[in-house]
Amino acid sequence: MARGTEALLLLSDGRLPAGGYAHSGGLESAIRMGRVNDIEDLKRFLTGRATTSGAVAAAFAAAACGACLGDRLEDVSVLDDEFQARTPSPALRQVSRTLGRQLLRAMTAIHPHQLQQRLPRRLNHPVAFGAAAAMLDLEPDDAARGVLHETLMGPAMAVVKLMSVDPFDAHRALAELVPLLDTIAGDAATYADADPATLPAFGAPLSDVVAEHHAAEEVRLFAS
Amino acid sequence: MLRESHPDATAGAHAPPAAAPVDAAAMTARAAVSCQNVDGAANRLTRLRSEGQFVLRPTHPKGFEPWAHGAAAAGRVSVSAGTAGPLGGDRLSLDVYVGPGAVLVLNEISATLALPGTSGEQSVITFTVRVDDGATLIWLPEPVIAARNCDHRQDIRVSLAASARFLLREELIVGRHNEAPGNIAQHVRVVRDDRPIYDQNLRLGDRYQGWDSPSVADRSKAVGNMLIVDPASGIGTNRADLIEANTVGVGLDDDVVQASAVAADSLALSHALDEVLNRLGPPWSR
Repeated sequence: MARGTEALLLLSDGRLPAGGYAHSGGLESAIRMGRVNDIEDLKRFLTGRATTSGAVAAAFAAAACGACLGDRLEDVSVLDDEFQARTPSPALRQVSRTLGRQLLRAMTAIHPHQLQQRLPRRLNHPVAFGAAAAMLDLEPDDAARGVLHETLMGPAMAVVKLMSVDPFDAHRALAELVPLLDTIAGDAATYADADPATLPAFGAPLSDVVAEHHAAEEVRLFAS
Repeated sequence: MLRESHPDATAGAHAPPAAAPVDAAAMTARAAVSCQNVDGAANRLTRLRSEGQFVLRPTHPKGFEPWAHGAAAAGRVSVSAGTAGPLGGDRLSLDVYVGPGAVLVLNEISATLALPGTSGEQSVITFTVRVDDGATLIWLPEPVIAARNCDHRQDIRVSLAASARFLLREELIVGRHNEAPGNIAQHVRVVRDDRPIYDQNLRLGDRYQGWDSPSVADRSKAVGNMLIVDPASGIGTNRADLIEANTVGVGLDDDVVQASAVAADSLALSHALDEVLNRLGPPWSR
């Protein structure tokens, strides 16, 4: 991990101007609907997000990074289609596309790379994240870790704005999940060269449901 | 095309199973149904092979059948349970083929109750489905109930031709009444004209960390899905139906609708999915 550590920190930092900070990963709606009321609920929320959407995003980021590093760019489009098939919610599809576009735009501005001209313009976020990792000479394992980190940091940071909780408690919940996240990222990295059709497709029905409700809300703090 | 894409539909009656169970008490069974338009006869059941768990019977309409309701000529097959289970260690498969232009309504007589076996092995049911050009499959299984301590997996692989019409309604219940949840993973992958349109592996039960999360199923006992593909219909265009707090019907494409529902019990789930269909209007609504 020594090589590229700084690049991974740059890419996964919430302060990267790629728009991730505007999203709560469904937490705002889950709180509004009474499903998350305290820090224990938050931890369950984050655990489920890690084992479903997070695990899927991590595998797609690893595979996209592997495809870019191996110059198999046709696989990047296939991965994007496969990811879309695993994202039934139109609201979540739009979020993913927006974040993907914003990330690629940020990369073009901060780190010009020949891949930027050759990749499809529209990519889902995990696929774009894997491509961005490749642009920074990172490995598929890094891409998986980075996108998983981002998947959980969004709601973990949003919670202090949405609920009366101690920020230390929110971070304690994250710290307790570290071993699980390591396992998930390690599994995800094994998909670096896999057939895109075989990537994980773990479903999270309530995430899909609340995403649609959230998109229909007129007053909301976060975009998702 | 048939031979290449759906080898099981033409396999011999006693083709060897894909994977033999480890446990001697476990069962291996494979069943198949094919519905085709042949020799001027519409919707003929050209293959009906029952084995073990899957006993297939040609039947009459059982209730409301979206799209095919009142269509006397549709092929109709009911699956009834020939044995208890599936039990842990069982390896079962059902192959479904609907030939060009044919219409098949496939339903079940009763719910499926997945039970633990003596070996602690997982039970696996594999469904392999092919719906050809201009063909229709209305697939209405009864709920799958995962009894306490069971470990059950269902792999549903669906291949649709570009002009195929398709409805799949699935209802998963974890635990019988007042019973702790069993474990079930249901993986549905639908490919249309060789492109993936839907791929979800829903995992419920304590074996799967995070399943009880407010972002997954939140300890709800009933989770349902529905997928409706109606070529050139426009049913999916800009659709985002919010039905109660825990059910949505959304457009995946202009002619594809998907529903997700999470409910306290089977009855509430069933009503929620009915309402998704009602919003689509005829011929999908009651």
